[in-house]
Amino acid sequence: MKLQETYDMVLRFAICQTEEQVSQIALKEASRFGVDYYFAGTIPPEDSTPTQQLEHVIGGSWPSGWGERYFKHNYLRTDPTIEHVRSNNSPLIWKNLEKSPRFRNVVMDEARDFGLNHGITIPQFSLDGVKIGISFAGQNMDIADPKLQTSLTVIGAYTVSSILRVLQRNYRSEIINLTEREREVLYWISEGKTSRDISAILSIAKPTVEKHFTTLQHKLCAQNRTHAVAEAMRRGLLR
Amino acid sequence: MITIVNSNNIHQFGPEMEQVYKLRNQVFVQEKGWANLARPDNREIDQFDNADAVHMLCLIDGNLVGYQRMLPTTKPYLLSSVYPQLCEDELPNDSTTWEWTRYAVLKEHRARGRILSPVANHLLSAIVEWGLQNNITSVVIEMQPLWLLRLVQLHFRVFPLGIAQVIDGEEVLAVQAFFDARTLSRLQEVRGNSVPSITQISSMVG
Repeated sequence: MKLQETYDMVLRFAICQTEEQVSQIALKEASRFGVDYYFAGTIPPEDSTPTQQLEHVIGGSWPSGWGERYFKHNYLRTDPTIEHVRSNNSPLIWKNLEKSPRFRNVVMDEARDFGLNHGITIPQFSLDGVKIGISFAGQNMDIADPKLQTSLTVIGAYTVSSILRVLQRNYRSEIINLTEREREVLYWISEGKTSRDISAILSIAKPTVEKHFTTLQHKLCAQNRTHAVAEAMRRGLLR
Repeated sequence: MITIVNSNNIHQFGPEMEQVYKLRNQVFVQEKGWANLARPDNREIDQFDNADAVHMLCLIDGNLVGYQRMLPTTKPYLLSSVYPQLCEDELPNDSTTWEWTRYAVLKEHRARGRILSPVANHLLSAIVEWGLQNNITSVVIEMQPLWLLRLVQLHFRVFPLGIAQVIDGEEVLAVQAFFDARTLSRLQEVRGNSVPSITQISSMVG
């Protein structure tokens, strides 16, 4: 990918106002590698219902009929690309799955019948620390092109960030587990109490209160007390 | 939060720089296992720790919790002298482009769940603040492609310089990332305040 080419592409993504425009540019940019479809999303838990699975979609689409079939047969559980994004950080070229017999399965075989002969799935981390999978696929994809992997990673990153920008959506890390004590400390901070006050209320040493707060701060990725409380409210940890 | 150490003031930061070499040893030699950087005195120092290097130290109460080093691309730098194979285009070589290397955050200060931690945010903000003050508009990074989305979401305009290659078992991609005032606003928005990240601890610094 030449610098000038990328520069033009970045500009085209930057002026997008809708998800459709972003998808259109993504496919146009990726088409030079023979890509017909792209699909991006976060990874749903294994036991998700189809409705829950849809909430994890960020953008893109699959050939008509494939999505329906995928949900109907609950392919999420056996889809090797999903498993790959969960446990790996490097891109997966679908063809390489053929080498490992345990991944030879009905999902990838049937995908081929829908024109998804070749594909690549690329893991990325969002700003919120959520793992995102971006897949590009097509009937005649040139998977031997040495530039394919890097170029599609770059196109994928701009595609996802543009969609999140136009939708004003943020993917927060799903679950933050607070201990009972951390919850108590957080509650009293939100009530405007100082560390000294809290140590008296909870009958624990002041340094212990501060230790709990430091852990809280890390978990919430907060800069200070005000930020921690705001973050906790946003995530529904404080009522 | 961030103190900038260069050839003008490095003599004032003896103890802090010792912490730097120790942290770098801990992160790059011990954790990442880059054995070729190991030295008998357990201080990680290389040929680029020269008079041109700009060190950025994240200090909390005098303790080093994060670090990164900037190298001018007008002199030999990591990409040009150690990993030239990662660059297919012309090697960046101008005063507005510096290389970002040795990014390290103390284990206890890394965020859980791979969110951008406060220390990481301040280190990134420091690059942008420093860049805006010194007419520097981009950084060269040798990075894991996995983090591209994050940089783009932070309003860095990222351009690959070559194709990703596996080095020491890790995928590495050389990129040039341009930033401007929007990048700084975005970083400040993410951390929830607009306090400057560079807070020089010595007033002697020019």
